[in-house]
Amino acid sequence: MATGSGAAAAAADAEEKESGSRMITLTSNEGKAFVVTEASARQSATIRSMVDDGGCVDKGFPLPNVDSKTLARVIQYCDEHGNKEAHTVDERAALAKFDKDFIAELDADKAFLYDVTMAANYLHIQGLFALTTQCIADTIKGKTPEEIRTAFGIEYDLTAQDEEEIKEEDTHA
Amino acid sequence: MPSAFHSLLLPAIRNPKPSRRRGRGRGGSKRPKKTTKSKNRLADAAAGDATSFHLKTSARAGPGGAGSGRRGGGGCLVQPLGNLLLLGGGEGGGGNLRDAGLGALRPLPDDVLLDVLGLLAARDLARLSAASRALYVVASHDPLWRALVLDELGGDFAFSGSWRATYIAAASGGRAHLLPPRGLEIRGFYSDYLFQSWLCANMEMRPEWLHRDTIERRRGMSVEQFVSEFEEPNRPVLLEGCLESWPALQKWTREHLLKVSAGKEFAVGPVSMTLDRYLQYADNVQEERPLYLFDAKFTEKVPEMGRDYEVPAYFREDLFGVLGEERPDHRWVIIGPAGSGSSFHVDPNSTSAWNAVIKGAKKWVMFPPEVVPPGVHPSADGAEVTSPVSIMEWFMNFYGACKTWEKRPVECICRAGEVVFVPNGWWHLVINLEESIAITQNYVSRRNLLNVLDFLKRPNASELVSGTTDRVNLHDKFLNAIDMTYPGMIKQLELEAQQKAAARKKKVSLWESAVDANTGGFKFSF
Repeated sequence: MATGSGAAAAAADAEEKESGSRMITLTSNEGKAFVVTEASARQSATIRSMVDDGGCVDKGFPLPNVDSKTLARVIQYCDEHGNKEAHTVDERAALAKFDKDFIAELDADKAFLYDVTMAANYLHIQGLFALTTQCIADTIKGKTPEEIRTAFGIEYDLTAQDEEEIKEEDTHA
Repeated sequence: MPSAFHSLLLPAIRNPKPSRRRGRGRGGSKRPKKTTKSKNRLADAAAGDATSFHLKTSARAGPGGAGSGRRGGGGCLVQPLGNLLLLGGGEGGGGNLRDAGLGALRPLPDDVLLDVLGLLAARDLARLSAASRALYVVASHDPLWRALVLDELGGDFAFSGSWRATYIAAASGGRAHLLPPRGLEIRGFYSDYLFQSWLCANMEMRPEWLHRDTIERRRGMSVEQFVSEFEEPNRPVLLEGCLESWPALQKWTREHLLKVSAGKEFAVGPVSMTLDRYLQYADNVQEERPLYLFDAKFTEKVPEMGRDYEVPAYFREDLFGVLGEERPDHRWVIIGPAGSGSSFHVDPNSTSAWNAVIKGAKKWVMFPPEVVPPGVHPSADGAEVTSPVSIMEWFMNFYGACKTWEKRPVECICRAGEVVFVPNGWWHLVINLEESIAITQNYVSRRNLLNVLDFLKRPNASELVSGTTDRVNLHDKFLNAIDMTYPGMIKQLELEAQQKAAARKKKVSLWESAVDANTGGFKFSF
């Protein structure tokens, strides 16, 4: 985690040490339990605030909006970012490499990519959300309207007149 | 093309007025309407319950923002999802336009989809709008274009009724169009998210949000009275009749300010703008969070403005003054249209403040330091104290929540010539009810000196302290400068504080102290 000052970094380290030994259970909407380190779970701002509010660490956290397949993939990301250090140049490069491979694999299965995006949104995992939304945006970038329709299986529902008017606007933008 | 005003959704705009006269003549032509209670506000609007919302007479044609309301152009008629259910399948059996028109992107909720679109350049957004009617609606969402304009043009834009039109006009070389770009009129798009955003931009403040006035009002009070009755106990007060000596009250017309500030740029949100550009924007904008002119260097930029007001007698002690050039920002001119303002926050560096209205009127809602307003979630370290919701959203979704609270907020409308005192640590929300001009200053007197020093000393000062470039050393510099200028002052204040604490301890019963502990009462650093 990037921190602004030495004092804050020290506080974060102390916090991590203190909480490092705790394990947290996340349960998918299919009832499957995943046990993760607290450092991993804290990648999610949603869970982090529940833990900090003196929450139910022992009882675990049911996640009614996330299925098992998606949760497993989300945890894969959180483990990598929560449990590993990112202080040295090498460590950061390793994380960047992980992100690149992680998103490339997701990109091959769009429906799953959207599921992971929505889970990242629901759980407020900022890094993962940035990664997945950027990936979706990249798919749109540089495409013509026709190519966009093909890429996303979109029905063509504009009238000729609509198209004419949009073209008029488009030439300006 | 039929006027977009004919939407089923918008029964409240039965008398669309061609002109946009912000903040004036409002309400005069409106019949008083009874209010109804409902849990689902969006459904109310969907069902055409005009009693729930008064739309501004200048309301845009519809959410989506493609058209310019002023020109009566087209618009995307986004409707709340409830409408689709009420219609039993949608107009003409077409269902929600969204489904077919988004294809594989359909599972993404609107807010996520807009986050994705926020990563695109204008050219990609424009191409996306030509892919389907649904994508046209989403890609026309005006906040997307606002971000592009501010990002690419900074403050150097001529606002043309919507951000999208502004971008297009700038991109086409700033030439005026013979025909203004006109948005398509698209019906059958159902989205609570886009609808709420549009509603917050276009609705009037409801009377029940305005009538509660619980602040103490004083006129002609002595400075000693102010200190003992308000500053010491850290209580808000509205001061009447203490700006009578201010030339600004008479002089600061638009014309005058435009003349004296010609060629100077003021801080407006993330950009800087000349006053004439800003006023052109403020006169024509209708959005959820209007850009606010909020400038800390106005007296340096326009010295004449600094000479047109003076600090009221109650607030003359200004201990940050010992820092000279290195003092944190402390005075601002604030200009904004109706609907602009600040959502809930606590003022910087634990200072107290006063806010004087020169033109217009401001609605204030204030909570004491120990009561976090509903809908606000400060981070544990206090570094982030901003409210995630817009002002209108707060009134719509949270204002009612504090009706039953034991500690209800202090509220008022502060009008031209009046001053609100904001004691340190108090949460406050302010919204302009009409176009307003105000001066505000934050200050440290000996009543909150220890408090401010304590704040500056916090371990995460680098994140908390604001308004200065040297955040970490401010505490030491301030402490030393005070000791140099006022030897013994800090010791004396600490002694007085201890005596007061001891005296209070005797008085406070066990029960009261228990209550205080429960609410996490505001801590002075005794």
